[in-house]
Amino acid sequence: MAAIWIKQKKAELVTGIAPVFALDAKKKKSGNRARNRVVMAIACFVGIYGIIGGRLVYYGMQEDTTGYNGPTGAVLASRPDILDRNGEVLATDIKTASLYAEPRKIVDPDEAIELLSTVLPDLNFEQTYSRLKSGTGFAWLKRGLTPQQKSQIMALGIPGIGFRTEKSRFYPGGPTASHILGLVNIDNQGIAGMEKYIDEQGLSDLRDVGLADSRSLEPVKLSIDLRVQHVVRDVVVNAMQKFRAIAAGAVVINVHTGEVLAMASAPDFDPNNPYNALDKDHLNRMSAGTYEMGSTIKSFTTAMALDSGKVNLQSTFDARRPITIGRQTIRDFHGKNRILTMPEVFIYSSNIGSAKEADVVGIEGHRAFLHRMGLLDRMQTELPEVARPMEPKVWKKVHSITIAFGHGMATTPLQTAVGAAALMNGGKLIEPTFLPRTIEEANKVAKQVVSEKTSEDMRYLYRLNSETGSGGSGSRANVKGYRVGGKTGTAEKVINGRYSSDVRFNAFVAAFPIDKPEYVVLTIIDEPKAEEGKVGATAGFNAAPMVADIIRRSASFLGVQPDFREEQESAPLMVNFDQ
Amino acid sequence: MLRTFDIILIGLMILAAAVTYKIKHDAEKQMTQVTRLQRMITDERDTIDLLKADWSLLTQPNRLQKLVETFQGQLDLQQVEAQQIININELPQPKPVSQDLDDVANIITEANAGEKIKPDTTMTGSINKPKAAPKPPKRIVPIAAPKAVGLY
Repeated sequence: MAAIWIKQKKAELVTGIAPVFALDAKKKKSGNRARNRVVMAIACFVGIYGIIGGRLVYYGMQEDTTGYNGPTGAVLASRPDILDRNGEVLATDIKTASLYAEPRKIVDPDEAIELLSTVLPDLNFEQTYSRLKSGTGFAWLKRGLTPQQKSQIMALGIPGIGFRTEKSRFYPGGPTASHILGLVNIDNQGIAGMEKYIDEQGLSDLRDVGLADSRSLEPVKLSIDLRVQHVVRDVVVNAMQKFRAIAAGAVVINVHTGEVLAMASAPDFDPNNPYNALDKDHLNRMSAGTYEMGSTIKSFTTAMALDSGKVNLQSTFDARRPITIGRQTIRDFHGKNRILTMPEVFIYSSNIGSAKEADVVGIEGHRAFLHRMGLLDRMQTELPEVARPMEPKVWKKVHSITIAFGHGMATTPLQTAVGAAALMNGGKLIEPTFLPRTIEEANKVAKQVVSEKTSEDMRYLYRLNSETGSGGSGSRANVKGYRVGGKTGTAEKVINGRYSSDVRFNAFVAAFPIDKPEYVVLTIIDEPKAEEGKVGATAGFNAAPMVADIIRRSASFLGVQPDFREEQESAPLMVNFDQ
Repeated sequence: MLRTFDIILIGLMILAAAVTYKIKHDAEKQMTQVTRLQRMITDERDTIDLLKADWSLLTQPNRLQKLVETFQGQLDLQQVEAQQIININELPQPKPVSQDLDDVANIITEANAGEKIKPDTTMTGSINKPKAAPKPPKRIVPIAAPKAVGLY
């Protein structure tokens, strides 16, 4: 059709039917055309802007349909999961739905409540009703809903209610490992324990640049064994009740790697609801509390004397007369009033004997040794809550004597356990860790602090002290099959500036299996009273049975094989062929 | 001639526009689908996280111990003592199954006194054991101590 028309036009031009004044007409034509074009362009632009303007007016006039969507708080920071050494979850982030309402849009509050209560039977009727009636823009109805509840409520189809997702930190074990895991604040930032450590390791930096996304964070594995941790906490909490103590605690350390398998301190808190976590008496006593550890320190005094090479297990110490120095008189609690051999000094826990042992190396040697054992310096570990031990500024004779039996200096129970592990494992001091560590890694950081021989002698003394029937103070810590060896410590507490004889701080440090130690267990109990219907509140009556309980219940988890072959034999005779 | 070409070009343009529109529309549809699937994946992941938390809550040693204490009457679980744990190679060797004829075989032999009967070499658990091999002492051999038992 178009082609025909074009052809006709061409024919007209050729035959000259077209007007003669074509030039003039052409001019006119082009002028008209230009004007037409301008008009068209103007019309186009007016049209487009008219539509845009009209649309704007339309949107401006329209009712707000999207409405108020509640507070648009910052999306909570993600944190990595924390797992125990077997992969059990200790802490995790969970998303919970929180239900809110926009009362202005609620058509019928009564109906809404009725429907909601079918899913949430524990909804507070009165409160919810007044909230829904209030006519405000936004009101929380219930926080922390499960996905099932969320989908059920969604299925109800109530207008004017909605959900917001919130991320919250959840600790399935509750208070089980509270002091190790620590706490997060409302912004999901770690403020205590391993949570704080994780933040310090770069998580907070990652978060600042917006890279901490929950999927990209690898879970953090701890050296803790949840099962052992539960046993330890259970024993600690029970002991605290049983002996009406103000506090108790315990720790289990692997002597070869320095890994902390479990650590508990009571009273503790529930990290899911940490209203009392910052109370003064809820601190982690194992690492953040310093105590005069009492006779457990005699292990170190004895090891020091043996390591000096000036005495051996056959040496004797005169414990017939109390030592008087200045106004103080040092007496023995289980006084024998005779000359004691070194093992006797240890198992009768003789203060006089220990003081004489310390005398062998002198004051400076004594101080240097305790520093070497790491008992007087601030411990280096992942937990941020670590207290600095206290020692006299200037060591005098009297300090050396009292420190020999554990008074006059204060250190943390965890450090004492680490020191004891060094005495048991062949003399290697390994800083404790809450993260998994292999023996090879541990050997790299280990420091040889006493000789292999001293360690062997200490194992012998520990074993002797816990042998049933040896008269040792630790016999109540013995567990059939698991060869426990250890040392009690009963320290008198300072009340009004004086050592009180009936307010005590008790400890027991034990290693098992003592013939080839794998683990060191240390228990403490603060101000225990005698058990109902029994007398005696020294460490042998409370701290030692705690150790026995822990070992009995957790040895199989720790992979220690029971062995009854050596049960019949008593500690080997003290014969040393090297002499 | 020019006009024909123009019209072809216009046609092509419209076609191209239509195809582009369709592709874009399809892509948008696919994107919606992708977003929907991504949202579903996120939902599933969140549910997995939650279920994991739920699982660890339900298997807390703490909770299991409480349950064991509550239902001690029915369960009658005891604490595992060191004596109950032994190595597999510490178990006493079970006696080799006796090759003697058993009662049934004897009766049959008596009945067919004349013929020689060969005892069947196949042994089933019910034939020989109670008489010939005394039961090895019954001991619990938890190679890995079961959780619920050890907790208590």
